[in-house]
Amino acid sequence: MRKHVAWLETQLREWVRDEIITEGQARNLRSRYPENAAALPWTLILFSSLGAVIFGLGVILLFAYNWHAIPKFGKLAIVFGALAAAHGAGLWFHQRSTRFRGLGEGLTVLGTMLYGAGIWLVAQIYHIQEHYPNAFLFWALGALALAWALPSVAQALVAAVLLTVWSGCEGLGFRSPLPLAPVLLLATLAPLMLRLRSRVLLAVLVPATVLTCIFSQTGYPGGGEAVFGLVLNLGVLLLALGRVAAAGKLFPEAASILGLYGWLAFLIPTYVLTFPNAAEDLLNLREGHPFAPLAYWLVSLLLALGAWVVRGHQALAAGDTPESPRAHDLLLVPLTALLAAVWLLTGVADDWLAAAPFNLALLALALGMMARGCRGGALRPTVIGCLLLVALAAARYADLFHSLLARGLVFLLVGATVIAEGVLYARGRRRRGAAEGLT
Amino acid sequence: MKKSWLIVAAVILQVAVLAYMAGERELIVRTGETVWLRTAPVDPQDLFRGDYVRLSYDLSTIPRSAWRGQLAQRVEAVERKGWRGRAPLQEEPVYVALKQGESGTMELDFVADERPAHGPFLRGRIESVWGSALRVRYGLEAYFVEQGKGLELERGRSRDGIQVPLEMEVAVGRHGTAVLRGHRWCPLGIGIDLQQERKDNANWLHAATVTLLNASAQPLAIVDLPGLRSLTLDPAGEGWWGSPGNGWRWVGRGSEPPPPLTDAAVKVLQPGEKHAWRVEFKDAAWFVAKPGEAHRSLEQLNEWSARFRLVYRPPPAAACQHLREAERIWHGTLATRAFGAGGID
Repeated sequence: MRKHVAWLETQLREWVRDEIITEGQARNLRSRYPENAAALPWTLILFSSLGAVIFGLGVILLFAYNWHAIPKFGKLAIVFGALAAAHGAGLWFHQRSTRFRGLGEGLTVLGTMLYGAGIWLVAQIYHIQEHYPNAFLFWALGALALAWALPSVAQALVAAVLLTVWSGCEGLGFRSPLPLAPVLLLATLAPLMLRLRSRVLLAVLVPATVLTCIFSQTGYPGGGEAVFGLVLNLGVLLLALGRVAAAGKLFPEAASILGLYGWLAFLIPTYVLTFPNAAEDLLNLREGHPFAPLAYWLVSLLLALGAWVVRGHQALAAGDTPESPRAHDLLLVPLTALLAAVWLLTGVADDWLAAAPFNLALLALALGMMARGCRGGALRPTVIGCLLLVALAAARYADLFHSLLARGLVFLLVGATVIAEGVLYARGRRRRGAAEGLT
Repeated sequence: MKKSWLIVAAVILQVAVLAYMAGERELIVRTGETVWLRTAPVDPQDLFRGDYVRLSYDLSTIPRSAWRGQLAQRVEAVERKGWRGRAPLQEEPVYVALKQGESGTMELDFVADERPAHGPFLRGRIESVWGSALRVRYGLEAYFVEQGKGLELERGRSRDGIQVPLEMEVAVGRHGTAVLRGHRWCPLGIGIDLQQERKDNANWLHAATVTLLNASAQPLAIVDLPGLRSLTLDPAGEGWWGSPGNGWRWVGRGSEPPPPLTDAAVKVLQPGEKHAWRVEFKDAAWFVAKPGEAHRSLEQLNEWSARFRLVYRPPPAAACQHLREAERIWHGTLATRAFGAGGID
C-alpha cells in the first residue's frame, strides 16, 4: 500500500505542476487513501518475527547447555524474568511512538516465543510429561490474547500456526479429532484479519483453516473419501469468496489470495479425479463411513454452493461489461463440486464412468478460460486455461490414448490450440489496449 | 488507557499460565506424599531440552484382573465394537490405587475410573486398550537429566547383561497428580542367558541361567530355596491378544508345599557379587500348558505366543524373621526380560 501511495504522491505533484489538477484537488485525492497506522510493512513484520523466532530458539539452546547446573528457582527466575523483560521492553517501545512500533511488536513476539519456551522448560524442571498438544493450545491462546490486545499481525500469525499444530497433534498423534478447531481458528482470527485488513494474515489463515479442517477429520478411521471431497468443496468456496471480495468494498485486496488458494484446492483434487482408479476409489463411500467427516463435507458443500449463489446475484446485478465480462466458464467450478457430491452419495460402479465427467469438466473449464482470456486480453485465465489443457492431455497420454496415432493426433490438436490461443490473445490484448486508450 | 490495560492483561495471562504450571507442581513436591515406583527405562534425547530418560513403570501396563468398578464394563463395551471403538477411551482419566510392596516401592493394587476412598493413588490417562491390558500414562514418563547423564543412566540400567531397575521418587498430590523428585537404583539386578539350539529351521530352548547382582554399596542377602523354589515362571504379561498370558500357564510345580526356611537358604552377596541359577526346561518342574491341553516342556515349544519371564520371589518378610540375616534380605520381586523360543525380548 505504501508503494502505491508513494507513486500517487509523485504523480499528484507532476499533475499539479502540469496544471492538470489544482492543489486542492490533489489534496482531496491524497486524502482518499489514508495510511493505516496499524498496518505495518510486511517486510518489518516478517523480519522482526523471523528474527524473534530464531532468537528465541537460540536462547533455548544456550540455557539448555547450562541448564542442569542452575538451581530450580534460578531456572524459574530466568524463565519469568526473560518473559517479563521481553514483554516489558516490547510494550514500552510499542506505546512510545509510531516510529518504534515495529520494534515493539517484534519484542512482544519474542516474549510470546519465550512464553512457549517457558511452557516446555517448566515441564522439564518438574519432569512433566502430560498431554503435549495442550502446550500448543495454551501457547496459542497466549499469542491470541496479545494479537487482539495490541493489535498485532505477527502475534496472530504465531497463534494461527500454533492452533494448526495443536489440531494436527490431536488428530494425527492421538486420533482425537477436534471438529471445532477450524471454527475456533476462524472465530478468533478472521475478525482480526478483517479489522486490520491484513493480507499477510489472510495468506496464513486460509491454509491454516484448510489444514485444521483436514486434521479435524483424520482422527476418524476410514474417513478419507469425505476429507478429499471436503478439500474440493473448500476450493470451490474460496473461489467464490475471492470473486465476491473482488467486487465488494469490505476487503477487495483479499481477492487474489483467496483466488490463489481456491484454485489450488479446487484444481488439484479435480485433476486427481480425472484418473479413473482414483475417481472410483475416492467417490465411493465405504460402508460404515463415520458421520462427522460426512457432516463436515456436507456443510462445506452447502457453504460453497451458497457462496456461488451470492456471487451469481452479485454478477447479475453488476451486468456484463466489456471491462468486466461475465466468467460463465467459472460456473463449471460449483458444478464440479455438485457432480462429485452426486457421485459420492450414489456410488459409481465403473472407473471411467466416475472419471469421465471430471475430464470433460476440466476440459471445458480450460477451453472456457482460454476463450475468455483471449476475448478480453486477460493474461491469467489465458495461461491457467492453457496449463490445464496441457496437463489434461499429459494425464490422458498414458491411460486413454493407447495408440501412437491417437496420441499424435491429440498432441497436434493441443499444440494447434495453444498456437491459436497465442494469436487470439495478442489480438484481444490489442483490442483492449485500443479500448482503454479511447476511454 | 483501556488499550494499555488490555495489553497488560494479555501479558499477565501468559505469566499466570506458567505460574500455575510451576506452582501446582511445586506445591505437590513440598506437601505431597512421597512414594517410590519401580521403572523399566527405555532411551533417548530431546533436541531442545537436553537429555531425558523415557520411563515405563510396572504400573504402566495393568492386567484385566486389576480392573475395578465401571472400568471393566466400559472396556468390554469398547472391545465389542472392535478397534474402531478404542479411540473414545483414549485420554480417559483413571485412578490407580497403590499398596506398599516389600521392597520399599509401591505396587499396583487396582485401577478404577473413580477416585479410591482410601490410600495413596495416582491419576493417569488411558493410552491404549489392547486385549487384556490397559496401558496408562501418569505424566511421569520423562526424567530430564544433565546433558550426557541420560546415556549414563541407560548404561546403569544394564550391567554386563544384568538389568538393574531404576526406582523413581515421586511426590503425589491430593488429587493423584504426581511429580518426579529423584531416583535411585534398585539394590538388586537380574539377568538371563538362554541356552538354545537351532534345529530344523527353528530355535529350541534347553536351559536358562538366571543371575542376581548386588547392585548396591552394601551387603545384601537373597534367599536360594532348594529346588529353585525362589524362582517362578510367569507368562510374559497379560497378553495383547485376549486371554491372560496368551493362554499359557506354568503347571510344573503344582501345589507342593515349600520346604522349611533355614539359614542355609540365605546367601549374602557383597557389593558387585552375583549369584546364578541354572534352569533346565526338560525338568517337569518347568512344564507349561494351555487350558485343556497336555503339559509341555519349553524345550518342545516353538510358538511365538509362548513367552515367559523367570521371576525371583523370596519368601515374605514375616516368614524370614527367625533367620540370622533377616535384616539384610531384600524382599521384593524381580523379573527377567521376557523370553521364548525366539530368544530374549
